[in-house]
Amino acid sequence: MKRLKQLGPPLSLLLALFAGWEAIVRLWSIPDYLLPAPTAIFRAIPDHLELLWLNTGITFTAIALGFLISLVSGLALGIVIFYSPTLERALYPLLIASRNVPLFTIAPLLVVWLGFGLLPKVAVAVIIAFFPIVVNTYDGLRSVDADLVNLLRTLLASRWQILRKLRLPAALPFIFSGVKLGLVYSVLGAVFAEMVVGGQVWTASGVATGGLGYWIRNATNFGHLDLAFALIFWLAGLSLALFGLVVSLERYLLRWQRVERT
Amino acid sequence: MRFQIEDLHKSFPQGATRLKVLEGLYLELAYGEFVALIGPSGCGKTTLLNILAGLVPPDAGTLWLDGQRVPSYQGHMAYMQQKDLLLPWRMVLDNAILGLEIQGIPKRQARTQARALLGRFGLAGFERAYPNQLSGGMRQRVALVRTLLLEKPIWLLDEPFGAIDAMTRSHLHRYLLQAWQEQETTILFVTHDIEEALVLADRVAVMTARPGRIKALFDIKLPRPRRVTDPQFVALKEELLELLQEERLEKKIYEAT
Repeated sequence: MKRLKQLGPPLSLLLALFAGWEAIVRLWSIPDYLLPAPTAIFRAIPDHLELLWLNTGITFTAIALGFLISLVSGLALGIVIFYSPTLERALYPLLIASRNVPLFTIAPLLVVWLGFGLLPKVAVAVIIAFFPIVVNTYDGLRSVDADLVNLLRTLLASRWQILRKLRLPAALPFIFSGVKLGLVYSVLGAVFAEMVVGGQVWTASGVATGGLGYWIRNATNFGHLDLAFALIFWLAGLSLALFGLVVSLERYLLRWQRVERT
Repeated sequence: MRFQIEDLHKSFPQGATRLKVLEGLYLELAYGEFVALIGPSGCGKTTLLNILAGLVPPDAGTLWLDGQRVPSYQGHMAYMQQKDLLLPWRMVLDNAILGLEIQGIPKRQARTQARALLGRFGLAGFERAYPNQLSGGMRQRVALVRTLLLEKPIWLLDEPFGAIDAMTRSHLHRYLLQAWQEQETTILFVTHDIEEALVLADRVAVMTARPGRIKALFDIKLPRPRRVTDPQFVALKEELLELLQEERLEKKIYEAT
């Protein structure tokens, strides 16, 4: 109930923005190929439902694979560099520096190397989503109170027990910040790669594939701005839904942070 | 368990030299004895406990348990500190069983054991609460239960009630004495509070300023429960206070020269 109430103000603002947009388009009679009205955009969604569904599956596969690979390898590498000072000294500065490098710009090169299809999309997603997960996992593991580590040592806990019972749960808030960033980057990477990769395959029913990113570019190039916007809104919805899933998991696992003093 | 520490030395690097924290410390505790350790701040009380708990290796010294020389300091004693060190993501019950869980005792069995003890320490109904829902006194009781459940023959307590208000502290003293008498353990209890030492202990050991050694030992023969207004209690307190002040003074002179 409280959370629903929090949704009120931003939703009202969003509605007001759409209303303003609609009014401007109608008052100045702006043509559809320059700026379609929100109503036209929302009408375009049912008109292209088949295309949306088919390409959502394609894009979602790239996002999900990119995200899961980033998650598993990011957690693993974060733990490894935490326990290996040599690797930490060599890798950590590079990981931090890579934050300031627009890595997704190598997407066209990945297409050259990996061809068209799923692979370059997943690769771009992983390349950018992986770093925040590694860095946050490492920072989280390091953040643990030394006195707590000592407590577990006096209880004769093994390294593995200290990791599992203390370091990982203590790092969880950090890890989730990294994972949420990683998810956003996976979406970004996969869709950007689709825009670069292009290419389309005609299915039996005559609907082209290539992913949502490809179709956003394609619809824009051909002046179907209503479809382009419809795809963008659709993608935004998909992205928010995925983010919501991760946040729900976070709220469940970190429920101890929200308990109130009795 | 009876234990002896013989000729314990420990220093830490400090710039180009070494800071001597413990120098030739001897201490012996009889079976089931409750010894309070007091001394000026920075005299190495916590270092001593960290060594005995196996967290810090000593430079030299011998540990004897029941007359047997022990090569490793690890795992013989239960250690409880001023900070409750509860894991905030574990509910009370699961915090209490942390040590048992690490020993590999099945969770269900450990929980049954913990439930009974939590109830006796006035924590019934709070088993499923998280630490940040509890008061400081309750959190410290959970930490005490976690320590007791280890069933170690020796407990090291480092100012466990130092951050607790006076009223709650006297309750906690009762809980502690009760648990000590039931489990027949040997306790080394560090405190900077002379009154606390006199309320609890069979003997009070006074440490010198750094580098730390045992300067004096007092037998406290008063029957329990002890009253702080008892004239004998007051006399002992004054004697101890004087001794400690002397130690502080010497430390100042030592540092000034």
